[in-house]
Amino acid sequence: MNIAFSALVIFFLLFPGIIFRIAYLDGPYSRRTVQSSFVDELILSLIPACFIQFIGYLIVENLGVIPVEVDEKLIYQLITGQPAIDFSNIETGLKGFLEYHFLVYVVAFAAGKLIRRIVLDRKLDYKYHFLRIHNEWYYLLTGRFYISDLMSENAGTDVYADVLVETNEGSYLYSGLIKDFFLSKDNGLDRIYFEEIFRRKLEGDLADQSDPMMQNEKVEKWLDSRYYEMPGDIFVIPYSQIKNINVRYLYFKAVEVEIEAGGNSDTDKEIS
Amino acid sequence: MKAPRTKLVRQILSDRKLAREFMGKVMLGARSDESQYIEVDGKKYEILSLRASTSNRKQ
Repeated sequence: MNIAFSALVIFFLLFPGIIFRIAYLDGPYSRRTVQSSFVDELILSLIPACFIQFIGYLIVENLGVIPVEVDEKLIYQLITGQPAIDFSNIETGLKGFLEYHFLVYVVAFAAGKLIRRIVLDRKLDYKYHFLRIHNEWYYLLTGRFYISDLMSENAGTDVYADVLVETNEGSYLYSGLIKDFFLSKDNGLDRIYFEEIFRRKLEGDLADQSDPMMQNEKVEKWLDSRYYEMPGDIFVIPYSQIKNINVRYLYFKAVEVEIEAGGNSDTDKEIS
Repeated sequence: MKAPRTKLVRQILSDRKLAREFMGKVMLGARSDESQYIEVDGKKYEILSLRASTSNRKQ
């Protein structure tokens, strides 16, 4: 038996897993990388393929949806490439084999789409790594993966980032709110769009956080004088220029302000 | 892909003065343990955050 024929049979058996994986991951900002090889896809599709084939086998054997009887011995011989195969068995079972696989491919595609919808709706990809649908940049820069129970899901979050950029004139720290981001062809990060961005030289780092300069500035105008506000609406930073990124996910808690009678001081109370 | 934006921050950013104050407080909050607050339309909000960081793997 030709080894290529065995490989073809194995491919037929694993193909539902590939279809399931494509249906599950298909979409923008997918975790599936363009660069992944065919062998990678086969390996990653192995578990869903085994599961789907096992369910299909049980249905065909017990429910009789398709009038075909699974010849396990023949399948074993085909996979292992044994030379002593009765081709008349293949000939009689071919129609049923193709019908079965067409049905399984349709079911695999539908199952992939259905499970994707359930995972997205119930936000299960936030909790479980193996269910992740989008790539790591999506979760990092939207804050979706890091949203904690402390944050109100309804109120949402805003993503603030400090980005270190190296230029010929030295290292600059850009701080602002992430507005948008784009991925490159290889599913890496290509560029980040910021709004409300401020810049300062990295050499301006304060050794001591309680430096009087910083304290005075914040009281007067809330802006650290080391920062320069970048004019413009959107500031674009290519990923190739970024040394590292520090991300903060902002959220808000409303506080009730109680004015004490006869006093100037306010007492803040969290609203639950 | 658009990053998430809350209604409150959208409201803050529509006011230049308030936007500068907000950004100043966010940057300050990142460098101190002190709680930062912002007042929008007479309501006071505490600015909270959950931090995460990553590095450029090309380096």
